[in-house]
Amino acid sequence: MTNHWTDIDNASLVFVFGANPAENHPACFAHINAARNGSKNAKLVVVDPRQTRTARQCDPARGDFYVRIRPGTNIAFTNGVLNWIFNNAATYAAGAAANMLAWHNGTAPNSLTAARAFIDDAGAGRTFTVSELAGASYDGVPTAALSGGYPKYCDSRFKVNTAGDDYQRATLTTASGYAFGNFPVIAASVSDPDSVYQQLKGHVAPYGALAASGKTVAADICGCTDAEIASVARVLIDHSRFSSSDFGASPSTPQAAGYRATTILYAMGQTQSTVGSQNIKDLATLQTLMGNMGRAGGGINALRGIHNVQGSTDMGNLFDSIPAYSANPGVNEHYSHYLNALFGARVENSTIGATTTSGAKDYTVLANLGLQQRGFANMTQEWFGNGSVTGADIEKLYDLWPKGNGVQHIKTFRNMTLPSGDANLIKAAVVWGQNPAVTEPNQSAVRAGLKNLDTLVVVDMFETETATVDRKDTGITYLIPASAHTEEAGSVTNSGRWIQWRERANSPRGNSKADLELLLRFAKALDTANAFTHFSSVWSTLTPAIAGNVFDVVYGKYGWTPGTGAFESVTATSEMWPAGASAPITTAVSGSEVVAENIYKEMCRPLAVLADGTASTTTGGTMWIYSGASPAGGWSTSLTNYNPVCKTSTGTAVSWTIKNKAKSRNNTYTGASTGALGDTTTANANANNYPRWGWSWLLNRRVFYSNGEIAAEQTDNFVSPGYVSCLFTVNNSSTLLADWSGPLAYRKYKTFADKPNVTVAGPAYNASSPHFISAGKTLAGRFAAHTEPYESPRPDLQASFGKNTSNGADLILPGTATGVVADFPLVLTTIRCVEHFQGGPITRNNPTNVEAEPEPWIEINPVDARAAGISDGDLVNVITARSNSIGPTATKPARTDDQAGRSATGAMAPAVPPADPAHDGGLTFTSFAHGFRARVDNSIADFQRVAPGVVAIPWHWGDRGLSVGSRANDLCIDSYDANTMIPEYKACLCKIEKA
Amino acid sequence: MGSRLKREGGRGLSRRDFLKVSAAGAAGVAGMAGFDWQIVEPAFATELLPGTYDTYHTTCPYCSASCGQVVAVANSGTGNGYAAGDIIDIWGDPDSPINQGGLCAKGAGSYQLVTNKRRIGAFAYNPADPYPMPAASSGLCYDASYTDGIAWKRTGNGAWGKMSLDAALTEIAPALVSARGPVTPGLSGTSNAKGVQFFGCSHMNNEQNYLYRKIIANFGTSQVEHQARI
Repeated sequence: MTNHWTDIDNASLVFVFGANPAENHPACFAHINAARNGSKNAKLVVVDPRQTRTARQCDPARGDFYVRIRPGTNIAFTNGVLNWIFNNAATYAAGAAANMLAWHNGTAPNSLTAARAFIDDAGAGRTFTVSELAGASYDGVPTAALSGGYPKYCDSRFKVNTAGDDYQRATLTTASGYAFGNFPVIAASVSDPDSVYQQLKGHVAPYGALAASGKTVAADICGCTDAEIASVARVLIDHSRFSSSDFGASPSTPQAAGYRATTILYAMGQTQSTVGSQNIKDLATLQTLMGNMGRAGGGINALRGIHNVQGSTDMGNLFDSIPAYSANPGVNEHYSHYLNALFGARVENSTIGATTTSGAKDYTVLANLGLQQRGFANMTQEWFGNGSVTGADIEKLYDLWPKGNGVQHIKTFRNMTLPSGDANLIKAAVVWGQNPAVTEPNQSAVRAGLKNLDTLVVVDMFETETATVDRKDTGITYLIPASAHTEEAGSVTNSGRWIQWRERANSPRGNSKADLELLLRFAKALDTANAFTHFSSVWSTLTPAIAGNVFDVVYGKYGWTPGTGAFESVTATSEMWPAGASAPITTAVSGSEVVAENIYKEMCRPLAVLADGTASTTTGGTMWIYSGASPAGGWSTSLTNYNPVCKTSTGTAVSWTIKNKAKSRNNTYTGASTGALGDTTTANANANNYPRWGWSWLLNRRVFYSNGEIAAEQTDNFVSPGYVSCLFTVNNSSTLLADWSGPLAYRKYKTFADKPNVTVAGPAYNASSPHFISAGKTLAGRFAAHTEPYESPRPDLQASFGKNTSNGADLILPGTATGVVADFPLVLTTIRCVEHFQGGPITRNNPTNVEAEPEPWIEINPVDARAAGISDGDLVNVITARSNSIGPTATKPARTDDQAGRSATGAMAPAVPPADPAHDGGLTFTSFAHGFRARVDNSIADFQRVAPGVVAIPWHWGDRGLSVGSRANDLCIDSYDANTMIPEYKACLCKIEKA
Repeated sequence: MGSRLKREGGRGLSRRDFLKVSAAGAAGVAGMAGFDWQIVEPAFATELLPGTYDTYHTTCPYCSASCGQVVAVANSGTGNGYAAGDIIDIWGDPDSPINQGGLCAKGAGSYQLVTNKRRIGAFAYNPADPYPMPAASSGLCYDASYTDGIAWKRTGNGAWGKMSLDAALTEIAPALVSARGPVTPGLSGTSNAKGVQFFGCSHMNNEQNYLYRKIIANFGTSQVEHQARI
């Protein structure tokens, strides 16, 4: 989320597009209702293929409405809306349209312009004052385009080149003669035909052209009406910065009457697609264009799934990542080259022949490194050595980082069945808290992979489908019990980036152990098994060499070593914040409360020198995003204020009062709505930010992407390339915009791999080449462009708009069965419910959740039901190309609980009688592909949850637990997003038959 | 049956009615007292709690809103059938700006998750328990003779066998090292082994995730994935 949960209260329009917070994030919906019922009187607009419970909250009397679109057509809808805004805003709302142009043509005030520093061709950092830019020239030709200063917020005035893959570039020379080669050419206004603004307008124009159906292309693709697209566009104009009473003010004033801001809430309805990244980029484009970023009640907000999915992503448990959003060091990538790809200083290494650039830093001096670089260097010390390793020796430790990426999750399971001897064969897997035998798509490939492993280790609270998966005769499976969330301390990071502390309420129950204990014992066992012997060849070269065994050096510092007494008996004193108290107390704590805080300190220690300028012996934080630019930004004994400031109504700075800021429970300071002035100096500021409740990365900034528009944020080293948000995606990763902010910040462009497989060139838009605009450029991928799902019900559109690829490579692995609309005429989409959670273990074992929702169901439209002879309550088979053999009902997985013996006597009757095909679709333990069978919802006569041609099924079920049922992922296709590898769970083809 | 819309549309058994019925049915069940089903008013919840207890703060183990929760744990002063350390109830934290005391159907049920008798290795087998537990024959219930940790092992599709956690780790670690093969530090791809895949999770706290990722890097591979990918 660019904003956060309680900030939703500030919105005047809640635009839910591809999410269902009423079921999946009920606390979020409470904040939506706060915005609706409070002074904002906010509207609710929902766009979704399914009339979800969120959509059913729309109240037409309040101006709320719901728009249904076909699964997998989000970009066509968003681009249709953009096109309407470009073409009709001036007619619909002249004032807002004028504000929109003024804002995009506007320049940052000199106070901000002057703080914008770039590295010139001589290697020196130069700031862009208005006077420097007023006398600037491009390639020697004087330009007036920058005379008013640097662009205000985004790249809408930047010019796109002829090829459509980059900005136009030239050497910018400022008034004092400082030269900046390869600098983007910026137009005087967004009226320039080459400007990003006009290029985007041209790119979305084809979505407004008429299709053969008589509707616009956008409405034709989405299966909605043109009026619905226009309705969404109108309400977005009405609730943008350009219609707000505080237009032109800074910071935003959400408590003002007439304040307008749109928050976009999205979830898997956007991400689970072959164009998931582009879906979200399109929403970001919409919000940036409408001035809703960096603003209270605005932003684009991902409603993430699991309670610590933000934190686990922050910690880089992904094949292409290490903690804090750094990439894996690449194969043959030198340390200095890797550092230069991180956020921070330009550094050099003369030993590899790098150009000695004036202004580049010696990377062996830790103090020279910027935030992300310093965090990485610290992490290299703490993970592969110790904090005493400095200077050039850190580069030796760098050798211990595994170079290159792992394997993305879908391919992982394929690699488990490679021929013996293949270098990529995966022979063992450790599954710590996940349930891939339910949650991964195209289960026949997934379970074939798990079956073939020599060793499978599962750590979980329950006996999951993964623990009981069909295994080859020689395969060994281990199952280790995990603890519950109340039984272990630690910090968790929510979707809004708030970091809160979980206290250890009691000991892990029975034989189960805290994850921290299990992990340390696992590490110790690996050490004993000589898993870390490769360290010695590096450690022996250090000065001084590190002695001792690896476990003691790199894990011993966390406060407990296996074999030295019980983990839960480790004690220390720590600050805790009792319920209802206004300040923390110091008290004795034990077990995970001790060890977790030791690790937290390592992550969150400050990165730089202390405030008084002295070097700190305790610097060395490894998580740069969890630390701060100043010592008080992370773990520190300092409790004083820092930027952003939180002040009382009388201007007094508010102390944190607790060192571990994740534990901070001061909810007094919310902003102006309560009379206090929390964060008054920033845009983050104002109401509903709770700046002293927990800690929020980055820099406790609760709202992202003000882009330095706010005075107090200009010194923060967190900026976009060139200090502007990019509507346009540069397709050239070697093109660096050498911007330097403050002492040590450097940013380069992000690029996307998306490329539609339609390559027909054409001079103008027509039905056979929709991706091309009148200038003859292909901008698909640079701007979001619609492509069809890999299994599409519209072959005509798949032919003209194509499918997405990763720079030409198909987004589906060989071996996945796919179907065509002639055989599978319906679209299948997967859904969730409030009673169950993800892959199911932590709800399908709870009697209450099972009673409330005992079994999976199917939602179909009455039109399709009648055609198939299906009535309310009938059992229905759903079949895709990946599940064409509904198995016999006789064979079921053997249960290992004692449910059968209790059915007659239990206080609560078993939720699911064993061996009842009505409830589980006749699962077979030995057959991988067995389809999906469930009862059709009673809704057919009364409701039309889904459109004709669409089938929706929940994905929570499997064959273990109190409630068992068909697995949606036996059916789902495993095509995936070009950038994130998130599978296309939301759209594939199916057929249905009465069981 | 999954008659979701019947409940929602006000026909048949409403969810609220169901909750009343269920609560009544569970009234006599040890460990269920005080379990409320939807929005829990703290005063109401406190009123129901027997004996003396301590409260702790945590956040909900389900979605990423991270609603605050208050956990009531029986302390040594109880005389009400709870052993010290038993969780008596979990309710929404009224001080949290995120949920202001409320919890949803899942969050309100997290008491049942923590005290779930189906948790492996957590509770002693009890044939009189009202809910199905891991069968005695499965060996998946708590066993007092494994105080230093337990694990289960099966070969092929055979039955689980019990072993100590240390014994399991002593088998697992060499098996993983063998599957991994040699690792050579440096800039080449041989620093990154391919034979072992790790799956992490979003259910663990930051510190656990950090430690897990560190172990994987130390082990010499970048082959790790988790739920954020789906």
